[in-house]
Amino acid sequence: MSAFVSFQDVNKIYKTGEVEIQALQHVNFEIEKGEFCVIVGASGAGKTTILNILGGMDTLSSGKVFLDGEEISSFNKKQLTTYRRYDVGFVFQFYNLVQNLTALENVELAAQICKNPLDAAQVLGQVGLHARANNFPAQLSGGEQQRVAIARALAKNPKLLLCDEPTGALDYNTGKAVLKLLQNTCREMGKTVVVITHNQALTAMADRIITVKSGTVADMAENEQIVDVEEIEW
Amino acid sequence: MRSKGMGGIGKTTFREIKASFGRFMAIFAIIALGVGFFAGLKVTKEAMMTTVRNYLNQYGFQDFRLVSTLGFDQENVEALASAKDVQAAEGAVSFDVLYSRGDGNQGVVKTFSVTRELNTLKLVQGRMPQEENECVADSQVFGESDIGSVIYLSEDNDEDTFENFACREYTIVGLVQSPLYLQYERGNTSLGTGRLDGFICLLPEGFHTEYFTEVYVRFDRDYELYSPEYDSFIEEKKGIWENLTEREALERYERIAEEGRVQIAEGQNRLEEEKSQGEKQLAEAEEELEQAAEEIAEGERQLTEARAELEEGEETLAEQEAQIADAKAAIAGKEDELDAGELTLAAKETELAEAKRLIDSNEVELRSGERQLADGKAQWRSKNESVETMRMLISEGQAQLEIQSGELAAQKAELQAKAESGEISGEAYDLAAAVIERGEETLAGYRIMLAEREAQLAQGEEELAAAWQQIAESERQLNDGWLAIAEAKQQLSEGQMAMTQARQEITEGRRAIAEAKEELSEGELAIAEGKRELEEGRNTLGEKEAEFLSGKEEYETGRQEYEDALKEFNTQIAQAQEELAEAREELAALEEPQVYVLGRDTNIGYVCFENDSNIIEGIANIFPVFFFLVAALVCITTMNRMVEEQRTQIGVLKALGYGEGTIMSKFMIYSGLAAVSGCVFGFFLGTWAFPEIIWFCYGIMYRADPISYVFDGSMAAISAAVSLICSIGTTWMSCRAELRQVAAALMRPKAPKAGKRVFLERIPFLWKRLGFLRKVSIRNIFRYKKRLFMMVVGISGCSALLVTGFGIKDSIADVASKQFQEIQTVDISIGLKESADEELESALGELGALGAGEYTFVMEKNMDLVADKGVKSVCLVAGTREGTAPFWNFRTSGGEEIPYPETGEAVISNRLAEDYHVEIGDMITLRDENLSTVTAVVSGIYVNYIDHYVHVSEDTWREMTGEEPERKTVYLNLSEGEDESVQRDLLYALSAELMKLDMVANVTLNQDFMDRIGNMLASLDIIVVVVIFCAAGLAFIVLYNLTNINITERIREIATIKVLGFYRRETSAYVFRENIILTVFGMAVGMGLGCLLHWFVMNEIKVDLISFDIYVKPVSYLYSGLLTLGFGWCVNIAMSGKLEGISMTESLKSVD
Repeated sequence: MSAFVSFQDVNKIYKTGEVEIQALQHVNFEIEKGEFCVIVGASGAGKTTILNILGGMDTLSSGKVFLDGEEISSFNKKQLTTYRRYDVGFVFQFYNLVQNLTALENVELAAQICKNPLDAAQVLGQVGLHARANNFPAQLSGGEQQRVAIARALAKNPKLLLCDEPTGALDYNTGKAVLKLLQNTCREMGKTVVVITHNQALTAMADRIITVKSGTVADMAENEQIVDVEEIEW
Repeated sequence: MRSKGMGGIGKTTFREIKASFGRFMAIFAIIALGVGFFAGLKVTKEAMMTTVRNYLNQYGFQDFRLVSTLGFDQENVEALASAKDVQAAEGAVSFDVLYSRGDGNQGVVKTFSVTRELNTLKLVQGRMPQEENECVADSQVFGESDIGSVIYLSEDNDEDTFENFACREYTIVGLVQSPLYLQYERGNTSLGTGRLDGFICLLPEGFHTEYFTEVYVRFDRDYELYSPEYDSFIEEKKGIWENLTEREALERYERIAEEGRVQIAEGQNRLEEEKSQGEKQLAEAEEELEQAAEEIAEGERQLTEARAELEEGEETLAEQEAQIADAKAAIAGKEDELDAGELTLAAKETELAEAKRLIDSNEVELRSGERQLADGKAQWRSKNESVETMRMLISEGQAQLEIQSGELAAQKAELQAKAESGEISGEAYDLAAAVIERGEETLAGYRIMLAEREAQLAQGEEELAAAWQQIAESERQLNDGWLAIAEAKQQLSEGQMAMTQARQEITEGRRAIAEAKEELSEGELAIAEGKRELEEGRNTLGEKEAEFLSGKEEYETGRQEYEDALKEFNTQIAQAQEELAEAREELAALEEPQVYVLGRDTNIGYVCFENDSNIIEGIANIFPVFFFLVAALVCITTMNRMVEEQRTQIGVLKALGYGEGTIMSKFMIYSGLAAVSGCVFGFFLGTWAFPEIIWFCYGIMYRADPISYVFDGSMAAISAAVSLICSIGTTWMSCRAELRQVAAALMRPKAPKAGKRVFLERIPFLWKRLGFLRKVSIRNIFRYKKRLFMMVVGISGCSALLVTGFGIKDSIADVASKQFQEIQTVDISIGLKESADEELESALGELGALGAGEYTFVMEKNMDLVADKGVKSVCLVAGTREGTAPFWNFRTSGGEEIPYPETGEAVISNRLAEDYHVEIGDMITLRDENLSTVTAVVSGIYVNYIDHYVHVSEDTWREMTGEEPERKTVYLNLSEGEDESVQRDLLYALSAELMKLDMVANVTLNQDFMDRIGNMLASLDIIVVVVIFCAAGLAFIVLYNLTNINITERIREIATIKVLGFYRRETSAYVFRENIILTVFGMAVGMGLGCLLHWFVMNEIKVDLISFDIYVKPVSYLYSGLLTLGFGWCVNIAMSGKLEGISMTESLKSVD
């Protein structure tokens, strides 16, 4: 049986006018189901591109991407939307909550379009925001907002949870709390979680570490000594 | 440094325009729309005024129209022309006249003389008249096809009227407009139906008058139309001119009176003179006549004699003729005899000739007989000879035979002898005996032969004897024949002799006849001569007689003439005396003239134009405000958004040390450029298009020149100022708010506007029922109040405009059908020449077969309603309760029926009541052209759309005026129960039949009227289309702009939901649901607003003759709503592409 997530010789070329930028070159990696994977690399190394392709938000120029046996790279626009809708959950650096909806409603927003969503209020409780359920994003702190974002992603009950610099806009402690939440989610709910970060320190907590450099996978390693989030320092 | 910075700013500005062209265009368009509307509508009244003013100036519209009961003469006109401030004064002739156009329909036209300076005509088609029997006609009433047709003065005109015209018929050679008739209304008259159809203009020679009926005066002041300056100037002049005109009229009066006196004196003199001269002439004539009578008697006598002579001659001639005829008969008898004789003669001659021929043939026969006889004789003789010969021969033969026999016998005997003798031996003997024997034998043969010959001879002798006997017989016969011939010949010659004699006799007879004939022809010639002479004599007599007769006739005529002349002389003298007496009487009765100085305010067109042009001003005051409001809102939101989008850039620029002004200038230039170009575009388009369109619509009622383009500087300045305030002003405000912040704050992304609970959430009952996404939409709607407001204003404005546009059409278009199908349910109205009588009634009864149903006779009369507010021309209808019921439905605006007015009461149309503040129970006074008045109490006010009516009963009329009402109008309805197309045909057939009736002056079909109004109102569609376009423009600009802002502002949110896996339709719904909700809401608001706006506009549009039914059909609301939704839908479709194009990865990139 092949891996849960599999990138096979993926290339991505952006064309802006006459300038071609090779964002990804021959990217190959695999992630097993239930793993907590960290993709690490410098700014512009192509990690976000990988996430976008994996999340069905962007297409690739050549190569193949599989998730749970399905070839995402062959999906059309609508199939991609469906894929995003049922299989993927996103967590962004800037949360991207809908300002006009309360925390609970933001979670519901995602939940209501899924086939078998988790209960919104319950998920919100899981991320520890039961008390703030009826607050608008503007009334929440950054960490709380990010937790709402995670809850929104989880409520969809996705196969894959993708997080793009989830701690980028958060302070140290809050960041840690969020990471802890993500790790717990992975461990307790058995979700496959992919976290993108430029922070090398976070690799310590991952099951699998993929290092990206200038559009190529420089290194892919399974972490032998997984460290708990609390023990990581940066 | 600074200039370089400005350069950079300039560059970014132009790049910005290029990049966000849609936004730039939005500002451009809304400003263009606002300015176009504002300037266009505002300038329209001025443009109309200018056009009409130029038109009136160009065609020398009067300031005063002077009318005098005595008219004016050239001297008056000259005197008036030289008065102070007068630019020109010109006399004109004008009469109302009944006319017909050959199709039986009669009408009334006003005729004018063609003027040269004032109230001149605008030739629309054809040419101006050049002959006295040519005219140019009202282009409103007459069409191109009427050029070349003839207008007949109707036989029903008064004799006096005819006297005013040089001809009885006038050929239309052209179509014209007159400044006197700016508007469609042609005014009233005392003739015919009381309504003028139009006007025609003749050359002054086309009239047969010696005076002007009116004088037009124009002052050399050029005040604004309807301006208070003009009014006060005219007010002042009016007093002066009343005196002046009166003085002139009096002078004319004096002149007429003086002239009259002189003429009477002259007339008297001439009468005397002519009387004596005439008498003398008559006496002379009588003498001549008597002489002529004597001559005639003499002539008659001579003629009688001549006639007698002629008769005698005729008798003689007749006798002679008889003689000749006898002679002719005798000759003819003789000739007949001769002819018979000749005939006999000819027969005899034939006989003779026959006889002769017989004789001749006999002779020939005889001769041939003789010849035969001779031949026979000769034959006989030759035969005889041959017989003789034969005999001789026989005898010879016999002799010889005898000899020979003898010889032989001798020989024999010798021999015997010898033999015996023995001379000869036996042998010789034997030989000789044999020879002798043979000889004997031969002799025996000879003897037989001879015997035969002898028999033959005997036979021949016998034959000869017979022949001889025959010959003798023939000879005898011949001799007998000769004898007979001789006898016949003798007879023949005797006959010939007799014939010769007879022929001679005949020849002689012929000669005698010829002679007689000669004599006869001579006689005939003589008779012919006699006859010719007689004929000549007769001719001469005839001539003489004719001469005599003509002489006599001449005499008779002379006598008749004399008598006529005498009679005429007498009557003329009598007439002249009478005329003189009349003239004296007239002179004595000559009243001092009444004069009227009529200002422009008595010209219907001029007065109505002021009112009607105010309509536009009314509309112009409300629409533009509305558009500018929207424009300002659009600018504010757009620029706000723009500034927000660029706040980071502002921050950077600020941090780099650029001044606030420099930073702001980018936005100022951006919005300013859009606004200024929009303003210029909108201004020129608006100021051109609106007056054109509105003037086109006014063309229904007004006839003048094409609209002139008016550039109003102050309007341009206002437009520019307002559009700059809307654009730059709002930009400045937006910028100011941002620029107040420090650079660092600006560079941070602006915190998204916080979500807020809306009031609806406080009603959990409702809120809980709402779908989750609807909640979002509702929160969003209330999140941006400015946008909500703008959206509602824009969309409601759009629907309000549509409702108004459709409503205007509804209100106006149905007026005619409502009037004629619900209120004035008259199918045919007939104008009569005389008051209706039984004859007409029976004629109408007969037409029942053609579909004529109920009818009634009423009096329709144009009268003036005298009210506090002024005098108003109305139509008075006097009828009976029963008669009027099927033709007029009096209902209040609430739909209640109003009873027919009792004696002393009146029911009036609602518009009259409104305009002149008349209420039920008030007294109204009506005045006719003779200033007699009718007063009545208003008992009801009914809904009426066209024209102004006052209804009273006939009794009221009788009571008030003491006169019998003139029932000159017939209301006629078709009998019920036919379908529409059949009714239409019936209607025309019936009207044609009606037209044939003598007493019918004209026939008006209300169907025609409805059709005509229907056609006229078709041009309203243009207004509706214009409104729809404006509304669409408004809706598009507002919706597009707001949606655009909405999308760009919420791009992250949209990207997020896309990432969450919303399908395309779900995403669109998420975004556009707000649009749809707001569109529906705006539409609902717009319906109410539109209703109000429509009411307002309709109140502004007041046309004198028509009161509109201010209402909007439900279907118009539906259309307006659908159109509004349609516009919204179009924008959503256009924008959904943009939504689709939002890139998730780009939009969700971390903010740098």
